[in-house]
Amino acid sequence: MDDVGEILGCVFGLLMIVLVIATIATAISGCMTVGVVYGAGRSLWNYGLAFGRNVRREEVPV
Amino acid sequence: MSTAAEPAIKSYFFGKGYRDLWATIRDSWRLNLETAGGHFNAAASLIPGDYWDKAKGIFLGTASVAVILFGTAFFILASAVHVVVLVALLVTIYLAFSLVYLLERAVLLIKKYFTVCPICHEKFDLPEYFCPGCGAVHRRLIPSSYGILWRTCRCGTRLPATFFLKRGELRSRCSKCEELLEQDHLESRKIFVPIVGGPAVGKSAFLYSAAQRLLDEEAGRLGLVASFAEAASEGDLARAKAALQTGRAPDKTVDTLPRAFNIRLEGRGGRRLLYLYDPAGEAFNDTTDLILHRFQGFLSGMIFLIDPFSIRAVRAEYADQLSGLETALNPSRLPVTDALSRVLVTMEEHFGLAKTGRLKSPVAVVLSKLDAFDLDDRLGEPAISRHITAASEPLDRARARDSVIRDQLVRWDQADLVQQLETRFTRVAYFSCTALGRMPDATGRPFEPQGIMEPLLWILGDADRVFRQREVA
Repeated sequence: MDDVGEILGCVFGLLMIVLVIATIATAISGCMTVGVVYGAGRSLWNYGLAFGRNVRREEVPV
Repeated sequence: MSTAAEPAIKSYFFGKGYRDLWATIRDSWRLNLETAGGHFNAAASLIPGDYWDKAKGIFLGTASVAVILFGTAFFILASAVHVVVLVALLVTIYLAFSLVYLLERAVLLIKKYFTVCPICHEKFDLPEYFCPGCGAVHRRLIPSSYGILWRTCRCGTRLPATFFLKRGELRSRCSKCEELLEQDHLESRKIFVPIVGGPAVGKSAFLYSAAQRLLDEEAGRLGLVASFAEAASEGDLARAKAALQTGRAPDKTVDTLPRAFNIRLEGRGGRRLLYLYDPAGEAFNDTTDLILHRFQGFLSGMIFLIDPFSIRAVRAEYADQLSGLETALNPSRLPVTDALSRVLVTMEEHFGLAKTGRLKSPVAVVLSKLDAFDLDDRLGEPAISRHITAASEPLDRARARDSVIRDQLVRWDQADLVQQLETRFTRVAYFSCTALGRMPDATGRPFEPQGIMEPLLWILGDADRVFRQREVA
């Protein structure tokens, strides 16, 4: 019985470790995904900003 | 097409579009680097902190890398779209203005419109136009990268860029000598008739008398409305008319390179501009002066005036009567054959006439000073009428006139001249005239020219059928 308890303890411990690692990995990848989406959006925003600033009709004197 | 810069605003898709594209790329990269750099520095400072700071650090660090990666991707993609749009519109506009330009050239060619400067005699397709707003000179006002139908001057004024939108109404100047031009110099059919002959053959009297008669009578008879295209010709004719009406010969022409005498003729078939040229007779003393007579390159016809008293045989025949009238008659000193030879040599050397070639334009050979002695009876209408009566078969008046005058020239030892004329010109007709109507004297009576219109109308009729109406009628 003691052996079974030890084995279950090990499994549980292992599961806990996996769970913690998975939680950390998920948190990191979540941060990274949000970072990628944000970075992509920001670069698109930068291009739009540059386009809006620079693309204009030549001004005609009035 | 010229690539010289014009004082106008170029189409966006031919210049500024590409500058804008480059500026957009540079600006977006600068913004991306700023953003990535800022996020990266923030991430580096947050990573050593607590879990929340670490999460923010990971987020910002990833974002900084993503900005660079996606920035590159977006820059490549967006720039490609930008370039494709620019090039597509450039090609569309290029095709559009090329099409309008070619259409314009075709219409001008069909209408036989081209520009000839009345001062320097340069022939060209396009004059230089002035902006009505600021006076800037537009050297190539055609459908182009500055605009398909209109262009905008740097001052903001919109200018028509094509014949179809009345570009000719703008003020213009010769692209060679910069002399101001009238619309008729650009947009009209043109007829070029120089009056050729040595000094004192009566070219000026002939020109002004013929021009006056054309304006007053002949144009109306042909169903045309004649008027002056420019003030210079009107002033010249007014002065000559005043002289002729008071029994004085017009002032002698002194310019060996003459200004064209322009008459506008409007009527069936559109507008025509007649260019009459009266170079000083001294121009025919030397071929050098004739090189500048560029109108010889696009002649409609030539009036070759001969002073009969420049012919030795005539002077000998009338020697007794001439002695007291030398001043009044003022015989030309240049032999007729010399004047003709110089014209032909110039045309061979500078205007593409082959050494043995024949000029396609007609030449009207006109014996002047018919008022002297009995020349009218021998060469004028009475002689022609007698010739027709004496002919064994029906003879029209033109052929009879040719025969009378040609035969008389041969009898006056001018067979060489006749041969030269008939071998070097495809069409030759002979005429006689008196541009003054009588010999100059001190009475002050007005001159009454005779026989001046026939040679001019013969040339004009050959150039344009509208002038043949009278003959048909």
